Amino acid sequence: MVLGIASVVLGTLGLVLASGTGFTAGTGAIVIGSSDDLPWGKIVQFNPLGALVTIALGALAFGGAWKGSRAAVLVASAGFVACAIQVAVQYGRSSNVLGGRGGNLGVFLALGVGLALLALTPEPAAPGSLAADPAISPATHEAPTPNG
Amino acid sequence: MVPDTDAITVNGRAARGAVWFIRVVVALVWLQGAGWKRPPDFGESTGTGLYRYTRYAVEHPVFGPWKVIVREIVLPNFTVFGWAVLLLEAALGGFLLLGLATRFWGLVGAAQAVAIGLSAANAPREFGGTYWLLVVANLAVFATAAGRVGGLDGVLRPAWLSADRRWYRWLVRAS
Repeated sequence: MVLGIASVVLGTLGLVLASGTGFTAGTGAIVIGSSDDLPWGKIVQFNPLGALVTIALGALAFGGAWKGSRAAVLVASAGFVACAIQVAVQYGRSSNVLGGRGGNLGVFLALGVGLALLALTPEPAAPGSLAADPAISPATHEAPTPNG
Repeated sequence: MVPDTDAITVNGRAARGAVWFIRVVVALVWLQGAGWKRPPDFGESTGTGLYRYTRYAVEHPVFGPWKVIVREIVLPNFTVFGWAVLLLEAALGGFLLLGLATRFWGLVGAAQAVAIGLSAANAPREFGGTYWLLVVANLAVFATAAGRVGGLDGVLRPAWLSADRRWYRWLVRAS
């Protein structure tokens, strides 16, 4: 759900900031960062089409998680992977239909793989086993037992 | 559930926040780095971009054997190398941002930072310490298993621990 919301927020920011660029402009508007001189400069960018696709896929992932539909989350995952492939194929060319850059490639790829793992990974076998994992449980993360 | 033999201790809210912050900033640095590696020629035709930085390994060498590797293997196959760097740094940024297989990507990031440092640390107007700090930051992400704090590793690791599948065993080690 968090990944879906983050994608919708990112896409919405992209849509607002890319309002002055062509719908499928090869170089989209910068969403995070403004300068290559800064560590956070020019991280991701969108044209309006790229922003709308990100919003749609994020909303699908959120809706799928909300309704417990693994299929919907998997479709969103496949969509993000397709977006990553688009960036890899078209970035640096005039026909870059989503207007992204290398940073978009990384974000799309990770969202695709991450959502797929979230959809395909079964719940822990034993009830309450989440709390039994000292590696991640908030309470035990602070004070783990010896050797986990 | 399989006992977690690789638990990492991060005590306190402030420390966990710092671990999360380090991971996210390192991820953003890699994403930004991926952004200026522009295919299809990665600056080879104009002597700019990734090509210029890669040539620094030959023109301002840090380590002799690395200079030979870059001159004899990397530069003659520069387009392949450029694609590998773009995909690697994009993946580093994306997976570290989400906190997925974070320990694996922390080690990969440290290795990539070493490679960058060996190419550019002696270049004009470059502060060589930047690259070694990037190595250290990626090692910190690895050492603290930073994806278990506010990342997907923390969400999915219990399920990976509870199922005896090869992929899950790998993900447990990578997280």
